[in-house]
Amino acid sequence: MKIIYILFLVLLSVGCKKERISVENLNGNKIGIIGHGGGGFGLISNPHEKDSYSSIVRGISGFHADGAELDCQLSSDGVIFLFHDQLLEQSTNYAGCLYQYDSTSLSSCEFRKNSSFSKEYLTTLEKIFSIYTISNPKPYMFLDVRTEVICPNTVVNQLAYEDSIAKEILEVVLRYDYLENVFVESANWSFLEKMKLLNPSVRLLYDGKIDLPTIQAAIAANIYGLVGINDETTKEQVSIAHQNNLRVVLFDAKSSQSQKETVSKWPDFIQTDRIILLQRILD
Amino acid sequence: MQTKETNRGINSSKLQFSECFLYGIQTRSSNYRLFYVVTFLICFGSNFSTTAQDSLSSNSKCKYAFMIGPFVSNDGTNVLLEAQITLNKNSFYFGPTFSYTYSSNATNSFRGLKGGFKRRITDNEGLVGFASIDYQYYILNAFVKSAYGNSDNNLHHEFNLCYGFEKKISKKYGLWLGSSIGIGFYLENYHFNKPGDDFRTSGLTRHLELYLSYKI
Repeated sequence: MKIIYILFLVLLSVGCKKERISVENLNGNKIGIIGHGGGGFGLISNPHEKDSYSSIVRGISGFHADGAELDCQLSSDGVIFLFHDQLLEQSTNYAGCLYQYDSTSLSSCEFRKNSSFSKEYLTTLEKIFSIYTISNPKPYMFLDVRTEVICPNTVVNQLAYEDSIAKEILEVVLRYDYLENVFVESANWSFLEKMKLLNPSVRLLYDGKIDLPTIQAAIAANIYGLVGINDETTKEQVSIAHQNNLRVVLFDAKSSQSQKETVSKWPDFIQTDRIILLQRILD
Repeated sequence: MQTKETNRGINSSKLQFSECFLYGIQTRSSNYRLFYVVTFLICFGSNFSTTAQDSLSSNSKCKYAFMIGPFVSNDGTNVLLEAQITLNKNSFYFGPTFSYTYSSNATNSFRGLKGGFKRRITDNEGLVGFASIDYQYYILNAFVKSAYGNSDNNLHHEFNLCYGFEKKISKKYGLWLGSSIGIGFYLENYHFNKPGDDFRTSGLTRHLELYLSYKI
């Protein structure tokens, strides 16, 4: 029994000294922790639906993430809603695509998965900006803009949609004085060009593979940075992007080991599903 | 080319234990619900196995205990440090809790209290079964102090109905090993910068704890 006592005391008294991770990047040598879809996808630490109001609040206000990645889609009357999936039936009580409904209808569009007692409805970009706009500093908002709209039984003019969503995003960003803390990301070069033409100060990120041709294209387009998948991005690629003054955002690192590997590449931001785990690694 | 739009899967096998435990009820995952039911049945069975030999001693002397151990709740993984007073079959316990989950965030001072009432159901000299009502209270710093100077904290509450057992592991040193499992609800209150913007959410949660108890 003495051995148990000794072991217990040893366990209580032993502390692990952790070496601080040194980082070199273009974000003041710090890696920004960004909640994927608000507070991370489908984890117990944030069981709320992705891009839901509860998820974003828990990620930023609860876990103190540096910001949130939000998926933006446009309603038929030009309101930016936060929704990840292509079709509403994938996670809500509505069917079809978001663009087929106006904002009044969408205000009663309810997420099916919901851990709370009250109903969780789709939220708007404006609502999120309105609660964080007077914070100092403001949390970063990475707006992942969905430019490819596929609506069942409806033909959507993609170019007109791109124009509308670009204008609406910019309008909301400027209304809430959020320009310096917003990053607009897309896998669509033509959309990024439109945003650039509307306001050259918007920080634009291309969402794709971070290889040499993409880096060259990003330099030519004069955008702010690149978004890439962790497993497909090497430290050398991140370094080349940094040498060309391009910020790098990595995502899709879920396990502890994977997160550590991501950190070792020195990206500027990591969009993570496990905010707390990443905070612990970087702490 | 794989972009974020095509790569959003969740590898649930990589989830931490605490995440697995609560994942079931919050996502209605059958695997983790099964895990929860099995654990509950073990607790339940351990109590019934002792009922036949129940001695329910009529010792009305006041007893004290101190408990330490980990527990998992809606707020992740925590450590409890509690004092308990027992009179007959009834116990009251109270003490601070320390969050492992929130300790990672330097800007997030996490303070917690936990307490409750415990009713002994069976007692077979060395194996005690009980039911309890457990309450937790956490205070978290608000995200940032706003331009308006509002620095109210975020508050989390949890209520759980639990069922558990305690097993004596050392008669000489008065050491017991305890475990309980429960179900309940949480209430989270987030304060924002502007008065009136506060956000309140509540939902179902679960509770699992394991502790070492020193009884006097």
